[in-house]
Order: sequence, then C-alpha cells, then structure tokens
Amino acid sequence: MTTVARFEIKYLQYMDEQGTFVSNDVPPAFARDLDTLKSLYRDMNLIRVLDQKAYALQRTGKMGTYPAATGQEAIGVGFASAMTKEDVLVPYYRGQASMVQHGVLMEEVLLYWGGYESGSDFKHAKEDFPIAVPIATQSLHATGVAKAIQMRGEKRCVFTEIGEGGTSQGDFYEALNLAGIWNLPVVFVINNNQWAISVPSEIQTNCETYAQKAIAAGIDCIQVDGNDIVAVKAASEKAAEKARNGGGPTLIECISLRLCDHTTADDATRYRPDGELDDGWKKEPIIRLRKYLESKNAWSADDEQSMQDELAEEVKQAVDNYLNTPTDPPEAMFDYLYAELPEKTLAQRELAIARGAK
Amino acid sequence: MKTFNLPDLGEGLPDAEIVRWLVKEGDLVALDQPMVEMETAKAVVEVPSPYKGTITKLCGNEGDVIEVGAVLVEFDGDGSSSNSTESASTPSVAETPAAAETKSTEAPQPTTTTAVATDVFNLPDLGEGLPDAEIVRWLVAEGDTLALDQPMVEMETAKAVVEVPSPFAATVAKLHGQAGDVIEVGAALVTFGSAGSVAAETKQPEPAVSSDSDDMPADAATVVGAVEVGNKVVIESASAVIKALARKLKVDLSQVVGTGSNGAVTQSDIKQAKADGKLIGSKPQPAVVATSSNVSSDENPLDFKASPAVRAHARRLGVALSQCSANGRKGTITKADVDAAASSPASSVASAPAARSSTAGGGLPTVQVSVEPQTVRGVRRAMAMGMAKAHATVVPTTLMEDADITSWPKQDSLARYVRALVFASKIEPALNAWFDGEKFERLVHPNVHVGIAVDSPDGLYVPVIHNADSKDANQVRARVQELREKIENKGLKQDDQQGGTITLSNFGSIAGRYGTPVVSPPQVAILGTGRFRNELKLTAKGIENRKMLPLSLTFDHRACTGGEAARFLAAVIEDLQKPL
Amino acid sequence: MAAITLIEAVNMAMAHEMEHDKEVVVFGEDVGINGGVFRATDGLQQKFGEERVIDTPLAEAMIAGLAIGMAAQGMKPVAEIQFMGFIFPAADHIISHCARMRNRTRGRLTLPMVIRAPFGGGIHAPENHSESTEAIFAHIPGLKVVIPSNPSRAYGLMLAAIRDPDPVIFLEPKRVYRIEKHEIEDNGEEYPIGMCFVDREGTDITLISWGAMMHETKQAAEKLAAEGISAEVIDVATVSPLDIDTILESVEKTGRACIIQEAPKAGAVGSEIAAEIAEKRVTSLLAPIGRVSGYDTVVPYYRLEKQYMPKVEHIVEEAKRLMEYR
Repeated sequence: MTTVARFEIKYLQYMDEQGTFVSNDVPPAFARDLDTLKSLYRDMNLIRVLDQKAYALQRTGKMGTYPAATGQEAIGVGFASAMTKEDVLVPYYRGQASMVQHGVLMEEVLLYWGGYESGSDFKHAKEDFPIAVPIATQSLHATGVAKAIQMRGEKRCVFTEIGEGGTSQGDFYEALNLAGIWNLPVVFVINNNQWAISVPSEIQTNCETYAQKAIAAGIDCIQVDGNDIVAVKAASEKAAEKARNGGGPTLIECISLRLCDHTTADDATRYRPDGELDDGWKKEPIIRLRKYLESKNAWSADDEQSMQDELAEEVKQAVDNYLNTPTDPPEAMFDYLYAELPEKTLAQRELAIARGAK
Repeated sequence: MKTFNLPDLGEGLPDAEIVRWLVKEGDLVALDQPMVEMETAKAVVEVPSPYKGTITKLCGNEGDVIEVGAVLVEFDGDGSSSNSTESASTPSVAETPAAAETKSTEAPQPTTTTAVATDVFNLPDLGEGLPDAEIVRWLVAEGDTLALDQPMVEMETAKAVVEVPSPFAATVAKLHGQAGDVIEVGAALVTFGSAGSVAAETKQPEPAVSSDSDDMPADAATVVGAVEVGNKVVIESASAVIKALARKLKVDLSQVVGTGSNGAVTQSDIKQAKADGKLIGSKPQPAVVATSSNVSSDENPLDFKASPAVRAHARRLGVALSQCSANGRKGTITKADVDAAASSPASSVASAPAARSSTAGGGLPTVQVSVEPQTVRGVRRAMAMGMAKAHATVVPTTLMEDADITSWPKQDSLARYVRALVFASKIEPALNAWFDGEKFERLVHPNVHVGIAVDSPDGLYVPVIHNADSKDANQVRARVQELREKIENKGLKQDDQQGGTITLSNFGSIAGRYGTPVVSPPQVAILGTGRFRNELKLTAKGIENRKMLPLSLTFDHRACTGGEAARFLAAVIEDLQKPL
Repeated sequence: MAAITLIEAVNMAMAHEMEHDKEVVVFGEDVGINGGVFRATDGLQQKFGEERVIDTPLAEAMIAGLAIGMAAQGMKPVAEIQFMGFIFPAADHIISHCARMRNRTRGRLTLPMVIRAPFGGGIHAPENHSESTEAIFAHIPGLKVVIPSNPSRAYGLMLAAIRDPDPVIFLEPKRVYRIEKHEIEDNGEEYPIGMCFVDREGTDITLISWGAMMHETKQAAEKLAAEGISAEVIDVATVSPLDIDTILESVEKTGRACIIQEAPKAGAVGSEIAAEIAEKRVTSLLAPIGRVSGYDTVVPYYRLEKQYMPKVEHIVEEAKRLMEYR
C-alpha cells in the first residue's frame, strides 16, 4: 500500500509559564512592544475582575447562571485583539473575553446573563452575533457570515470560538467542512480548557489534538499554548490576514485550563482531581505575562495596584449600570417577535401589560 | 384453462401500464420466462436484450438523449439507418386514470425467443414521464451476438423497468390488453390453455397515439415516489386574494374603484385606497358575553339542551328557554322552537306586570263593563298557557278512592303525601315518568321529584321537592318551608320549579273532596288530596268512626294504563294507611 | 403569460426575485446543476451562476445555520431542505435561532430568510418523505409558516416570503406540484402573507383547509352544493401567524365549521383553529366543530397511503353530520 495523505500538527508557544520567551521562532513585532503587551495584560485582568464580580453578583442573588473564563483570558483577548472593528465575532457562551475585547460593553454581558431582553442589543459591536447557548450552532452561523462577506468581496473576516467539548457536535464538523470546500474567510478558535463541564478532554475525542479535526475538513490548523497570549495573538493575526485576503479558513486550538467551575451552577470539586487547580494557577496566562513585564522592568507593584484600582472602578461602573437597569416591561416579550406583531397576538400583548400592571 | 391476473408489482400502485409484451399469442413460454415489461417507479436501469440475436447497429453515442419510441438498437440488420421510428410522447405517471391526459405509448415489440431479421428495438418509456433518456454507456458493440435478457446499455432515468415472469410452463392463449393499456391489479392479464379455448381476437397490438394534449407533458421529476402530472389549466380567480389584501390593509372595499380589466379591483387599487385613507372603521368584535334581554336569567341553562347559537338567539329575542318546546333531536331546543316561542305572546316567567292595555284588536269585550280588562301576565299567564297546553295534549283519566287514616297520630300530612308518592313510585314507576306525545318517548325516572301545587296571591306555583326519595320527613318539611318562604319573598327560582316528575295538589287543605286535577306535561300523573272527614264506616267490627282522606289520581292515559294507575293508587293508599 | 404548475410557479418566483434583488441567494442539496430533485430550481444556476445558486454539502443543520449567518449580514437566502422529513437536523437552528434572533437582539440582527421544503404525502414515496408536520413550526413564535395550495399562490406567496423581513418556512404540498396549471403573469406581484383566502362563498358551513387538501375540500364543496348545502371554502395559506379573523367572520355567518388537514389530528394546526373558534364564536355555533384529518399514527408506508389521507367523501360525510346536528 502507498500513503496517500499525511498530516502533522504544529504547536506554537513563545512565552512559557515563567514568562520567558523560549521559542526558536522570532516573536512577532507586537511582542516586542511593551505598551501593546501592557495593554493586553490590562485587558486580561479586566475580564478576570469582571468574572469575579459576576460570580459575586450571582452568589448574592443579583445575577443568573454565569460562565466565567478564569484562566482562559488569553484566548478571547488574544484572538479578538487580532480582529478589526469590521471583522465579525460569532462567540460561544463563554465568550466574554472576546466580546468585550471586540467592543461589547461589560454591562451588556451582565444584562444577558442577568436575564434582560436587551442583553444582546450591542451598542457598538453592531454585527457581532449574540451569545450562543445551543452548542456549536455558532460555528455554522459563522460560515454564513463568512459566505456573505466572500460573496460581496469584502476584505474582512469572521472569528468564532468553541469549547473542545463543542467540537464533538455535528454542527462543528459541518461548519469546518463547508468552510474548507468553500474557502470561507473564517477563523475557528477552540478553547480547549480541558473540561466540558465534568468531562475531561481526554475522553472527549480519540484525536491527539483538537486542531487535527481541521485535517478532515482540509483546512489549515495549528495548536497553540492558550495561556501564552503572544502565541494566541500571533496565530490569530496570521489567520485573520490570510482570511481577509481570500486565503480561506484556519482552525486554531488554544490549550488552556479552566480554573473555575463550568458555571456558577457547577461544583468542580466533585470531579476535578486534587492538585490540578494548584498546578494550574501556576501556569495561568496573567501571571506569566506579568512575570515577563516585570522581567523587563516594565511593571511594578504600584502599577499593579493602580491598574487593579482602575479596573475595579470600570467594572463597578458596568455593574452599577447593570443593577440600575429597570426590568423590561411585559411588552418587551412581544415587541421584537416579528417586524410587525400579528393581530392575533396583539390581544395577548394587551393582556400581558394589564397583568403586569397589577 | 388457467388465467393469470396482474399481481401487485410493488409500490402499492393500483395498476400498471403495459410497456411492452415479451411474448405473443401462440408462443410456448417457459416457467419464469419474462412476458411483459410493466412500468412502475424506480432508478437507473439496465435494459436487457429482448432477443437472442446479432446487433447490427447502435443508434446513438454515449451522451445522446434518445426519445422514447425512437430506435435504440438494430439486430441482424444490414447496418444501414433504421426504418420508421416511432416517436410518441411519453405516458404520464402510471398512477391514476385522472392523470391520463397525456397518456400515450410507444410501439410495443412482440418478442420471441428466436431472432428475427431486422427486428428494430425501440426505446421504451423507462419511467417518470420523461420524454427521453440518456445513454450512459454501451455494454455491447456492433457485431456482438447477444443472449436473451443480456444487458445491452445503461439508460439513465429516475425509474426502473420491471419484468413480469410467466407463472406457468404453458401456452399463452390470450393476452388481455394491448401495450398502452392500463390493467388494474387483480384483473386478468394472461389466459393460458389451448388457443381455441378463447374467442379469437388475435389482432396485433397496435401503437396507440397520444390522445389529448399536443404539448409535451411537464417534467415529472421526483427522486422518490411518483408525482401525478396533470395538464389541466385552471383559471384562478384573484378575488380571494384581493379581498385578503383589503382585509390585511384594512381597506374598505366598497370605496375602492377597480382599474383592472372589466373594472376588476387590482392589488394596486387596494394599496392606493390605503394610501387614500379609505379604511374600514374598527369593527367591534361581537362580545362572547350574552346580550341583554328582558328575560329573567334565573332559569338554569343546564336544565335545557340547546346549542350556544340557539341560546344566544333566545337571549337576543328575550325568550326564556323554559318557554320553548324542544323539538330537536334528543330533546334539544332548536332555533325554530325559539322563534315559535318568541312569536307567542310574552315568554318571560316573571316579568313586571305590564300597564293596562286597551284591547283594540280582539280580547275581552268591554261593552257594558265598568272596568278595563287587565292583561294576564306572569304566573297567571303561565298557568293559562300551561293548562291550555295540557288540555290539548294529555288524555286525562281520574281514579278516586279514600285512604283510612284513622291510625294517624298528629303529623305533617304533606310529608306523608310526599312519602306515599315516593313509595308508590317504587312499586309502580310508570306514573313517575315523562311522556312526549309527538316523539312517543317515555322517560321513567329513577328518582322522584314531587311538584307541590302552592297557592299564592300571585297565582299558582308548583315548586319541586327534588329527590324526595332520598329525603326523610324532616327534610321534606324543611324543603316545603323553604319553598313557601321563597314564594312569599318572591325569591322562587327557576331551579325550584323545574324537573318535577309527579305533582301533588293538596286542595283539601282548603276545601274539596274529590277532584280531577290537571296533569302537567311532560309528567303523566298528579295526585289530588282532599279534605279529611270523619265518616261512619261499616267494618267487620261493626260501625266505626273512621277518618278518611279522599284521593284523586289523574293520569295521562296515553302514557299509563288503568292497571298501572290503579296499582299506583293502591300503593299510595297502602302507605298512607300506616300510622307513621 | 404562461400556464404553469405549482412547482414551476415556485421557480418563477425565485427567478423573478433573484433578477430584481441581488441579495437573494438560493442554496441547498442538488439545487444547482440538477435544478432540484423536483425541479424547483430548474434553470436558476444556468441563469444566475454558481455564485448565487449553490449546491451545498449534504447537511441540513449546516444549510439552516449558513442561512442564518448570511441573513444576519443582510442577504436574503432561500434555502431548500429537500424533504420536510429531513428538516429535523435543521430544527435546532430554526427554532433556537431563526425564531429568536430578532427578539434576542432587540431587532439589531434580523433574518430575512426563507427555508422551503416539499411536504405532505400522496406520492407513494418511501418512509420519511410524506410528513405533514407543519404544526411543529406553527407552534414556534417568531416563525412564519406559509403553505400555497395552487400555482398562483405559490408564485405570489413565495415572492412575499422572500421579501418578508422575518424567517419564513415555506412548505410546498408536493402531491399537487404538477396537478394543474394556472396562467400566471411574471409581474412580481406578491400575495399577502398572514391572510386566509376565501375561495368560495357559502352560507351553511365553513370548510377550512390548506395545502394539497384544498383540492379535496373544493371537490367536497361541489358535492355538497349538489345536495343543496352551501359551503364556504377558506384556504388558510399562512398557518402561522393565523388570520383567525377571516375564519371567525365566516363561522359567524354559517354557524358551522369543519377543518380539513392531512396532518395527524392531535396537536395540529386544526386544533388551534378549532380552539379559537370555540373561544371566540361559541355563540355562533349550531354544531360542534368538525375535523377531518390524518390519523394519529406514523404516516404509513405507501401501500396504505390512500387509507391514511382524508378523502372527498370523508369531508362530505363530516359536513353532512354537522349540518344534521341538532
């Protein structure tokens, strides 16, 4: 027999857990710019603070179920920082890092999980898709957006994220397949945080990597250290450039570790092996970048403190806006059902209003 | 002689079209030898050679589209171009005869097991109603010698050709149908036996030509099943759509001027009318709530059977259901019944007494009378109407007898009368019944609801003690008391007066010995109890002073026999004569 | 003006709209070169090119998801699901996203898309090709479900569906795809979605139906007329959102209603219509509301198909029963 196809999966890491640049590859230009790195550092911390605050809100009865991205901030911040305003983001449900990075307001994220009708009515990120709860459906939506962009000959691309668990869904394969055969300008990012609720990634698939699912679709792929924001951003910039210029899709698998529960309704101590968390905290993305900045004398304890103070204030603003948002009136259920509410339903709307007024 | 009927070929189709015969009359066929090709519904097929013979010409290259009926292959010919080709348009899907407007066939080729010189094999219809089929690839070449049923070429359509094999090793006596004929499943297809056993009708099957439409039938493409094809052109009236659009845009059609042909209203006209503001006023929805009426709504609607529309109609006309006869099936009140009740004067039971009215047309004479006649309303009117109706329908017979109640201690006589009726109803249920003289229906009640005639200043009321058969004396008394109070307070409801199965008229409490009380239909009996009297009676012990209670039982002789009535009366007397 | 069948009318409408609106894109399985297994998209790829008439890979969820993404970007996808029996992988996208995107984003993202599918039985097809499950989608707020019953309506309603700012599930009754022809002018005139069409005026009873059963219903009305019963015939056309007012108005006039549907009886569109009539016009009713429908069974294999589908005589029988009801 002859071999008719082979594959190899490349792994990319620039910065190790200690914050040391270890790669033989030359780091991209942005990695040599301390201001950019500080900005990315700040962005990751913002998400960390937001998630912590959201948890607190939930635990005090002021927020519904919320999925934090603790320990995975480098992925969303990293790939979204490679996006332009014109690029379109199609997030999954744990996508706040990418969403906030791409212009969604923190309070909009809180409003969605807080049960408000208006949570997905983004003020700025006008074309971005809302949070997707049905798993992997967003992958297909991303192909649709990419197709429209392609048909119109626009020079922009689509980024979409999915958990490693989500890649087991049929929709994911259908999306990759279509993107491959139609050469769509879409970048698929897998957040492999190694847990799909209580299911570890080792029993999610027989593949050695998640990236190699791209091979089955005939598209480029790469596996990166998801806690190395430099690697994430570098791979994303490359994929975005390629997509925008008609080069087609890419799949980027980012390996990270979920340092929080699946959501506020989950208790990971039930299934997480002892010691994993402790170990994981040592490798997390924010710490390592800080170590690097400190090693360059670019970051002091005072810097840290004042940044934390600023972030706390920013998040507080968002939380206040969220908490001060009045509950939607009952007609909010009816007013965006169709362009024009059918007559038959008008009576129900009136009834809902009347009942709500009591 | 044996007959072979067309079997179900699969697909559940009721019939199948003969595509072509594989045998002809007179042929000796072997068991399972293919006899005919029948068209049903399937996919890409190989077309087997119908002959054992030598192909001389293949009439088309790969990729050529061949019309059904056109020559496909020549056998044992001289290689030159073929002779006459049949080009008939395709038959439609072999589903229902209704779709047969474009039915046609190609020329069938009688086949034999031996080669015939220059036997031209035309392309048969391979299914789906497609007019042609494409050669995918030749499996044979010019010069090949073929065996019977050997595959020659792959033709692409969306259906399959099915072969029907012979069930016998026998001689074909008759073929029941020509190519192109539609045979129903279960109908005779082939008769086997000696040739002479069937009337000679051995004409050669002739090609039938397309009958109706000259047009090429529409592509009946489907990837599964069979889509019926029809060529009927239907004129679609647009008025339904115009009206729908007008409704959607809330346009008042009466204000719209039609600018279409012959003044027809077009969609543009409607849109223009909307822009011009020619809208209908908001139409108030008819309320589900009952319309107001001057009918006392005290009657229990569940006591009457009537559809919601009839009830609404009654309400609108101010007619009480209790005043309607029930001429519908199973005792329901119909709209006609409501109308009839409405046209009879005043149908309310308890309406305010009307003002005096002069009797301009008809009524009581007023000459030499110093007072004006009063219109009889309310309870008196109900009595007048009810009695008249009873008189018109009931056939009354009255039995009279006395009960000896000497042994009675002091007690409530009314309660005893009620108990006696209950007792007697159990012994002779025929008098505790309802009768419908028009439908000839009788309803013998399992329970006893005793109507009690009550005299009041307003007139005669007959309230009901419901379920007297489950009440003891105290309860009966209590109920009677309750009823009296209600009457006094004018609080008697329709409920209280409905459903009586037998009536008691205790006129004896005032005066009277015997009487002929009036049965109130649909009841069939009424017991009149007269005044007690002391009487010297001749007994076995001699002459004694006995206390007697006169009883008069009127029954409707349409519904009860004399025997039933007498037995009932005897039971009443039996119970009454007990001390307690 | 051409005399064309229902399937040709669908084709003509799509072609017309593609001609006049560059945002309209057609895709699905086998819709390109093959022109669709029923020829719904016949000739479109030849006319408008592979860019706008696209053969997709074989994946229904993908077809729906793709349409959502494109529609959110302002395109007007007209996606074909080859048979309604195969729509279920796409149902997640249809129900979880199509029906909700406008609501979810407060109108920021809207989906002017059409998903069309042949539906209904009666063509002796294998399993899963005969479903009449329109009630599943009629039950979902945020969707519109439209069912043409004849070529003119197929043309007009398809135009309206493509132009509608919200997702439309366009179900084509395949049994009558080619059963008759109408003369239709390709003038781009749409028919109103969300309205019933009163096809025959009558005074004694209202017959309500949609899709292929309209043919049987009209035939039943003829038979009833011969017996002196004047039936009003309504083509619902848009089963969701329902134009109940037209139906109510009719029942008010006739006092009797009979709903005819191919679908199984329980939980069907007919159930909703009956409930609305009972709720809002109970005082008009002279008889109970009748329903002639398929059985509450799996659609049988084609041998029993004719036993399953309601027939003209069943409609006549039920109508007469309601007429005789006292």
